[in-house]
Parts: sequence; structure tokens; C-alpha cells
Amino acid sequence: MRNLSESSAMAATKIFLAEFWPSFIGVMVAMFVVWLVKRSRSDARLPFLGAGAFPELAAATKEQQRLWLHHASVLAFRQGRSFVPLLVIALFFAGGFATARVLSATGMIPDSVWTRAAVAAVVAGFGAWLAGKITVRYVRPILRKCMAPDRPPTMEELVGCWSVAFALDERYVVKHFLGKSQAEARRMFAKGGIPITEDFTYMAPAGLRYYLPPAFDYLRAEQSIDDWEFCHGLLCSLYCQATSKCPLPLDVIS
Amino acid sequence: MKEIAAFCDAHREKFLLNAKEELFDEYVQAILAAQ
Repeated sequence: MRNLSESSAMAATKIFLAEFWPSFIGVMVAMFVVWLVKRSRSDARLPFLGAGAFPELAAATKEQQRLWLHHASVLAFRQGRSFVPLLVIALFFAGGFATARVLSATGMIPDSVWTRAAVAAVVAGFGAWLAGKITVRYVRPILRKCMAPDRPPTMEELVGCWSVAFALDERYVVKHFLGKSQAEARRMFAKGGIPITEDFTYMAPAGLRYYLPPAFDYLRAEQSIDDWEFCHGLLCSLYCQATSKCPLPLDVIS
Repeated sequence: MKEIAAFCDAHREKFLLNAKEELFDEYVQAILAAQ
């Protein structure tokens, strides 16, 4: 009895491998061609990459979304990791195909082309979903880097008005932040305390977009251990922003 | 903002904040609920 089940398992494995490898190699070749074509196009974009998966793009225009995804894809294509989602697709497609063949050979599903195709499609569909998730996870940090402005915000971008003559709070924001790079702001956070974190209450979206990443970087660093003032003060300011009547862009909120 | 709030909430001990602090809890909840 045991010998019988062992021989069935061996036979099933043989069928699986015999079906798996040709499909896997075929799909890999096809995926490599797709990857090369996508990479060489003037509007290069990674496969499985859509604006809908990135809430940070929701506030941008269609054209801006297209440009950012293109820039992020160009950077992502330079790394071998960009091929991983296609490898996942090939694995699941070939795996689904081979599993369907084994199931029909062992009588677990009816031996028809349509049943086998349905099983293969379910497994390949899961692979495509997983490939999409992997792509989004891989591209998100690159995309955020592309979206971050490469210069400090102007006064108008920082506080939302071109003059701070009659606005005391905004005047402090300008005094502390205007013209400062992200690296300079990051250094300031280490010794700034509450007066600096309070400035985040009065910043306009462009100011938050530029100066929140170095603030987050400081919070994640060992340097900020025991700095309850910065943590508490920053969250107090962000609370004011989040509950303000003026809605913030989605990329800043997320 | 939400990422920062979630991080601060998850690392309260790093910033010497109590596990239950009403004001801080309110900040975190409001930021995470923002749309």
C-alpha cells in the first residue's frame, strides 16, 4: 500500500516537473522580452504599475502621475530587482499549469482542457496579484524620492503667503526654515525642541512635503531617543493640520 | 503624516511616553483618521 502511494507521488512529481519546466522557461523568455520592450520605450514604465496603487499620487494630475511613474520606473529598471515580479508571474503560471496537469492525471479534477485552464488561471491570477504587490512595494520609496522637491520651498510655498509682515506664527516658520535644505533642517531638529515642532502647525503643504521627511528621519534615528519634546510637539502640530478646515493633499496626509 | 504618527505610536517607550496618554492618543487617532 505504502509502495503504491510512494510510486503515485513519484509519478505525480514527474508529471509536475515535466509540465513545469517547459512552461516556466517559455514564460520567462516571454517575460524577459516584455521587460526589455517596456524598458526601451521612451515612456518606459514597469509592468503591473498603475497610479491607483499609490495614494500619494491621488492629488496629482494625470500627466504628472504619468511623469512620476515614468521617472520612478527608469530608476527601478536599473536594478535587477525590477525583474522579480516577472519571475513570480512565471513561477505561478508554470506552477498552476503543472498543478492542473497533475490533478487531472490523478483524477482529482475532470480531464478536460477547460478545467485545467481554470485551475491554471486561478494560480496564475494569484501570481499576478502578488507580482503587482511586490512591484508597488519596490517602487514606492523610489517614487517618493522622485516626488520630493530637490530645493527648499519658497516663502509662499512654505507658509502659503508671500509676506509674513502681519503673521507672527508664520514669521517664526520663515525665520527657522526658509532656505534650509533637508539636511540642514535634520540637524536643526536634534536641538530644536518644541519651538521648531510648533512651526509644523503653520506650514503650507509644500513646506510639510519638504520638511516632514527629515523630521521622520530624525525620529527614526538613535539620536532622538528620549526626545519626547520633539515627538509630542510634532504630533501636536500634525494633529492641528489634520483637524484643520483646509484639507491637505493626500500625499502629505499619507 | 500618518506614517509618522504610526511610528511614534509604536515607539512610545523610545520617546519616554506612557502607553496610555490621553492627549497623545487623541493626536494619533486624529492623524490616522485624517482623509
